[in-house]
Amino acid sequence: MTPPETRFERSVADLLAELAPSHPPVDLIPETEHAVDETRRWPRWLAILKEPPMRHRSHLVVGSPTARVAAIAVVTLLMAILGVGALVAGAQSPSPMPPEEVSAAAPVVFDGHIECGPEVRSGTTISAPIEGGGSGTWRRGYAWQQTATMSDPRLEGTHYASGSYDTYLLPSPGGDLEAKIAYRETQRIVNDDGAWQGSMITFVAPEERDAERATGTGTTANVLTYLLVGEGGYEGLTAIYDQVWDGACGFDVRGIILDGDLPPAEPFIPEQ
Amino acid sequence: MPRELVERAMRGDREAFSALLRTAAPRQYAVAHLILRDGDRAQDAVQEAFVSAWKGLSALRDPDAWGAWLHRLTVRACYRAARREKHRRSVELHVMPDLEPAGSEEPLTALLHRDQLERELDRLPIEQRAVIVLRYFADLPLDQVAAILDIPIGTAKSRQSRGLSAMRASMDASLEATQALAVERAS
Repeated sequence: MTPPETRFERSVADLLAELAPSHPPVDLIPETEHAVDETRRWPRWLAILKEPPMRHRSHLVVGSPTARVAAIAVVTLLMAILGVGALVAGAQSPSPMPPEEVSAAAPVVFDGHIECGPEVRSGTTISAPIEGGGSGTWRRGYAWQQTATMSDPRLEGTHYASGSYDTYLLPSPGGDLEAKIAYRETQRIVNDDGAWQGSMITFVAPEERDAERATGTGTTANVLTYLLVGEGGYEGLTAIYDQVWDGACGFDVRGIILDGDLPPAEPFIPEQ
Repeated sequence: MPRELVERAMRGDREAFSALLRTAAPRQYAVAHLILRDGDRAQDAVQEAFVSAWKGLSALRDPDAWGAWLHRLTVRACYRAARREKHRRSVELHVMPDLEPAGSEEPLTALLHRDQLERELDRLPIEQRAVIVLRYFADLPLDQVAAILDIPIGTAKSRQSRGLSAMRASMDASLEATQALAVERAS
């Protein structure tokens, strides 16, 4: 035991020992077991996202903290880039696009399963207060090697996922500020004949996601849609698929492989 | 805490997690009870902490840190429970013990000492009480307390110091008042 330093501190320790219940209520453990049974585990990326970094005995045991100054700088820089990008995009006129022919070719349907795997590239995690209240997390640069089983052999191979996200505060319909996480993940599949690469984004409030998962009513928050473009031997092909979280640390996958790309969605800009 | 159980639970083994739960729940309940000073809310907080642990277990990098991380989750659940109940106001009834039946001064003094300490513990801000409980009940060194609470060690030290000072000051004042009353009654 770490010895209390003074007689008074010993009195406090004795008092706490005396006040502490010797046994928990009889229903604590069975009720907690039941609650755990009803709970699905978060996938690794979400768990790391939601758990603030923690050091224990001088080494990192949860997350990966860095300086708050860096967090603010990263967020400020990102927002500045986004702002400039939006201004530039808004100032550009769209170029006319030729009409697309409708492809009659039926897509190849596939399904599969992707399981969480080890981290292959460490990144940076920053947790810091957000102006306006609460705290947020920013992550950059992490990558994992996943294990995948796909019904279409073209999508078999070594699967990598890399992701980054930021936390934002924005007004909810009720007027309160709520946290939203903007998460972008890139997947890359490599095999002997070529590679696939593409991304998805999701913009969710952690609390909404929790509620949906707890009640089993979740839809959008549990489904992540990816678009991967083929390279090498798969040049000209596009894979589109949904990943549905399986409740543990994996995803069920279902999608299609297209010969070509999706038709473009041409922006409409009224003539002045 | 068996490292193997934690590793199995990290891989999704529910039985291993149940074993961890059965082992750790009594201690976590005691900690939550001391922080919240309420059995029902402590039970809810412990349940919430274990559910959080199960959901977020894949964020744990080092199985040996399971205990410290669980303390963190319990304390966080206690903070949330306290925030939910902050609108509630309890009316504190101070009862000055009857000095006449006491057989000797020493047991009476000890009783007053203990009651006053308990009362002052109840009055501490929950952030200070959490430090006191982790330091003197869970028997954790202050640097670990700071890590669990995700605060700088200087903040942990000041919360400990302020909490202890408040308890000591209140106890001293109470003892002085009791001694004065005893002298008055004796004269």
